[in-house]
Amino acid sequence: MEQQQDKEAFLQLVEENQRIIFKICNAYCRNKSDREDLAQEIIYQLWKSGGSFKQESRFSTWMYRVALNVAISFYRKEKRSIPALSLTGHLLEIEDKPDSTETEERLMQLQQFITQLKELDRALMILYLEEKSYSEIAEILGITETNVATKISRIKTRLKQQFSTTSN
Amino acid sequence: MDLSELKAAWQAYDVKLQQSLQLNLKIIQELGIQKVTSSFGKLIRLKIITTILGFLWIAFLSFLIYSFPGEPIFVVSLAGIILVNAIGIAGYIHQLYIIHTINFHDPILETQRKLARLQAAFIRISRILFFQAPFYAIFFVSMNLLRNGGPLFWIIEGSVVALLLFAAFWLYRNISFKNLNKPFVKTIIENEGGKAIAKALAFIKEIEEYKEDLK
Repeated sequence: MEQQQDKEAFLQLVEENQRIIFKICNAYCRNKSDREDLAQEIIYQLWKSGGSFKQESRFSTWMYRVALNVAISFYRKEKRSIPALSLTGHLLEIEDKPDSTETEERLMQLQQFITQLKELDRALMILYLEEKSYSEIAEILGITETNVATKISRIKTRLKQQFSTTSN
Repeated sequence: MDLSELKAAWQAYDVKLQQSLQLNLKIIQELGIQKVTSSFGKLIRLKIITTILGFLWIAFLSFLIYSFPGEPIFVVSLAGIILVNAIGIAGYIHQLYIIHTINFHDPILETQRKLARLQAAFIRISRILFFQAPFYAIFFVSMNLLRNGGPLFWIIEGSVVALLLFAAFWLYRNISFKNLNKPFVKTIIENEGGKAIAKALAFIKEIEEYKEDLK
């Protein structure tokens, strides 16, 4: 009974945070099949690590750490193993709604920029775009706040250079 | 496009996902969360199997020594192989301990450094096993052959053993973090295991640099 309640609570948490899981999978995977595999792996690790979540720390900190650690490890593997279970349907289903040309272009530029970053900078960027404080970013990554600020500043410079080159 | 525009695009992305993304909860239930095989789990099983096989191999070699104690070179060479394999097994057990300490809920740099070190250590231990190669070149040498082999035997056998010893030492010492930028090291590590260690070592270096507050 308790296990069923835990499972239901977990599923609710996953549903509430599904966008984060999707965004991380999209940032670290090139194709749909890899995204599905990574999403499975993240959800599995979230479930497995559930007992380690301490109520006094932020849930988002804990969740981002697990999801990004899994994503970076997954990204760094050259070979993808075949998923253990063959599932009916897809884990992440996204409705294909057309966007305005301008929005579509901005999203493409965003995606292009993020995928050019190295694994750790990618994680930093995702957290920054998710409007996490420097303090929380530092806590998730395991670096100092000063380091976070320095790296974001460097990414800003790089972004400026990249897009001014593209415009020229 | 600057960072503020990037943030705006990210928010637009979030709105889009709010409207169109649906996590298939039924599939998560189908996953049977506790039964799903994670890739990390496979790594642990592989190391456990390798460790068990290592123990069995040592046991077999020990049995051979017990059964044929009369030939000293045979005994010494098998003892050498046992020693190298024992070091390898100790390394694998240590890695299993490290795996046990890895938690995905720990800070990212800490976790990734452990994972990368684990990968590098795995391949280094595999290279320790090269030190058993010279012993395989001598285990068949009997006292009779030693006495009556003649100069040609000594030249060939000596050369093979010396070459294998040199190769084993060279591989262990030179395929390292410090020498990653040397062309001859890069050339040597063309094989899959070598690429993996190079990637792992490069990532460790990247993590160390990431932690520094470089202005």
